[in-house]
Amino acid sequence: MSNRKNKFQDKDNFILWRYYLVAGVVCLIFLSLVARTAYIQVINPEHLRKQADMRSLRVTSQQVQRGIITDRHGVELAVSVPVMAIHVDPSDIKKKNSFEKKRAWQALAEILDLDLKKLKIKILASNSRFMYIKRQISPAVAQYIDDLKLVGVNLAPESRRFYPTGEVSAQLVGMTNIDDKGIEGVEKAYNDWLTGTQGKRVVRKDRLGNVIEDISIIQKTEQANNIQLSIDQRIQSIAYQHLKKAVKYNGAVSGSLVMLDIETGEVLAMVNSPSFNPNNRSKYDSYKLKNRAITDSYEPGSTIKPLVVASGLDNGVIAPKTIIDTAPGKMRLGGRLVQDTRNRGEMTLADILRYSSNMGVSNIALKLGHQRLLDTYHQFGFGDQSSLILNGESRGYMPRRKRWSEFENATLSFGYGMQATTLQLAHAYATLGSGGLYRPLTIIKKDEAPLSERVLSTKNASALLKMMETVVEEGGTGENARIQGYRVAGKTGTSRKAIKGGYGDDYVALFAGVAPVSKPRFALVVVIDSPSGDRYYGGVIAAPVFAEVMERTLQMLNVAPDQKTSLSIVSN
Amino acid sequence: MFSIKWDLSKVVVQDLAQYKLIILALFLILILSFSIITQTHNTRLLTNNKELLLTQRDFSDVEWRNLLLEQSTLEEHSNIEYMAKEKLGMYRPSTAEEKLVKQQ
Repeated sequence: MSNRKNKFQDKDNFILWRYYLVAGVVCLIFLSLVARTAYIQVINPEHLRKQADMRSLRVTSQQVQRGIITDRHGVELAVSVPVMAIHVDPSDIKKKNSFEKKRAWQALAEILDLDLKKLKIKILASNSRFMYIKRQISPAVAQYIDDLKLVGVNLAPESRRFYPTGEVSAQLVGMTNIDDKGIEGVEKAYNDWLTGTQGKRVVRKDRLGNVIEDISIIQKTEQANNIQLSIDQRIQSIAYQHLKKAVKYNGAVSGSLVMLDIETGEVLAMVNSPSFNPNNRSKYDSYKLKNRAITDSYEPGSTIKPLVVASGLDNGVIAPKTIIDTAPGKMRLGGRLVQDTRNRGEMTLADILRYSSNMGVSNIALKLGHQRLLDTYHQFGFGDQSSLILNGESRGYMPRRKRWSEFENATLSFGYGMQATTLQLAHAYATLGSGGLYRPLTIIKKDEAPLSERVLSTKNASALLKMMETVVEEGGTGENARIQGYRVAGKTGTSRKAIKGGYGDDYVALFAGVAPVSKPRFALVVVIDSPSGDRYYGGVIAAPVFAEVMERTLQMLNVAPDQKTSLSIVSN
Repeated sequence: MFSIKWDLSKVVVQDLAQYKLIILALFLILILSFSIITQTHNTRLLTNNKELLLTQRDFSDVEWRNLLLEQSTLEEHSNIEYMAKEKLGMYRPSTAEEKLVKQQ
């Protein structure tokens, strides 16, 4: 204490103004520091925050792959795989003399299989800031290009669609364009469902590019949905093989086949021939893209006859035991001729179907009148779009006119003067097979049977199926459709193709049927367009395809044979 | 007055004892500050870890998709049928050859 006091009192060494000056300067420095801090922290904090954010905030996006399409057992029909697109910034390349790295550019051109000279000219000629040079390249190649570190060359993620089943389901599944948008088939119909939304979020990254903080979400990621179709790829594959063989063997223009599950209204198979490989877009013809099973309509010919009988039974015009006199095997209606292949005299309803008698069904149709017949056709789904929402589906054609001649009325009963698609025909047969229940069709796998509408009584439907069974018996028009061990009901059809101003020399061969008759499970329709040989009848060309596809389907799905008792072994 | 012998350490301790609470607060502040720093650091590590896992998931997804394609190519029905027929000499039995076994 004494020391201190001494110092204070030592006036020689203590100069007051200096003391105040130093104290003042020190205070000033502190004050200015405090002021600066206050300015940065309180008054104008935004500036530095912004500077910091500019250096550390980044927007990252998460790529979402298009949904997977599978068949009813989960077999993939369409899968997306991420790939890369390479794009360049021509003005950046010019400005920074990117072409100086000659060897790297040479390597780039070689791995992408491009001509470097042409590429150079193209880039130098461009004034834009964006140009694709190659799309859909594999991640490995992309990595290689990334390692070349060329200025102005950038990579962008995109995805590529693969179709493992190739041409078998090509038209049904459809395809996407290069921008991953569905343009055909299921891909188009369910495009929105299959497409997800790419997520975008803001993150903070450190010096090394590690994400250290989640800031906010600009756009929420919406994962794409998958679709499980009702198609059974095994049946589809078998059907395609046999249809393709038949189309080729008979020199036909095209063919289509539809198989429906009678109990649920699900489409189990829908194939067309000729087909194309959706994985290789470099060589396809647009006509092969058509899903003919739904886009092409034709006159169904004799395959419509069971519906005439159904209409007759339903309206009480005929009874199951009715016998119709078709002698003399031909008749004139308003100057036009309706005839059978030969005069068979008095026939039962079963015989009419078995021998596909035009006289017989015309008789019934004339008793019914056109309106009741058309009503039945409508009830079975003709002239209407199905509930599948695939693009390009045809409604077929149902005549709507005020004045009907008897001949027009009669032609309607053997499937002329109207048009139907393969799918519509299959739908009608599925309805017959289900005992008269009209069910909406679906291409998506359903767990429960949909609501149905009764269009024919069970009694009449089963009587009709029995009659249709005689068609495939020996001597019937459809004997080629017989399957060992199973009861099959079906009907053949051969119709002349209409051309401008009448009918041409081309035919459509059809077979439609259901099996097994004791408890119908599947309805199958085979249509072969313009077979070129001498034999063009549905019973010769379409029926064998029906038999093979149906037999293998029944076998594969373990449907118990309903016409086979002698061979059964009883085990415990 | 000047001859009093001050024990410096005692004075310091006495002074400190007088402001116990403030000193306690000081230490608390220090501890808390450091824990905030370590917590932030840990959070960042975890965030980064999550990010890495997400990237890994994306990679796995891509790999899964490629494997899926490979699998479906290999198990294509016509391919399997071809192998069964040509390599293993199998054939599809006709329905006539089938034996029906009923379970009781």
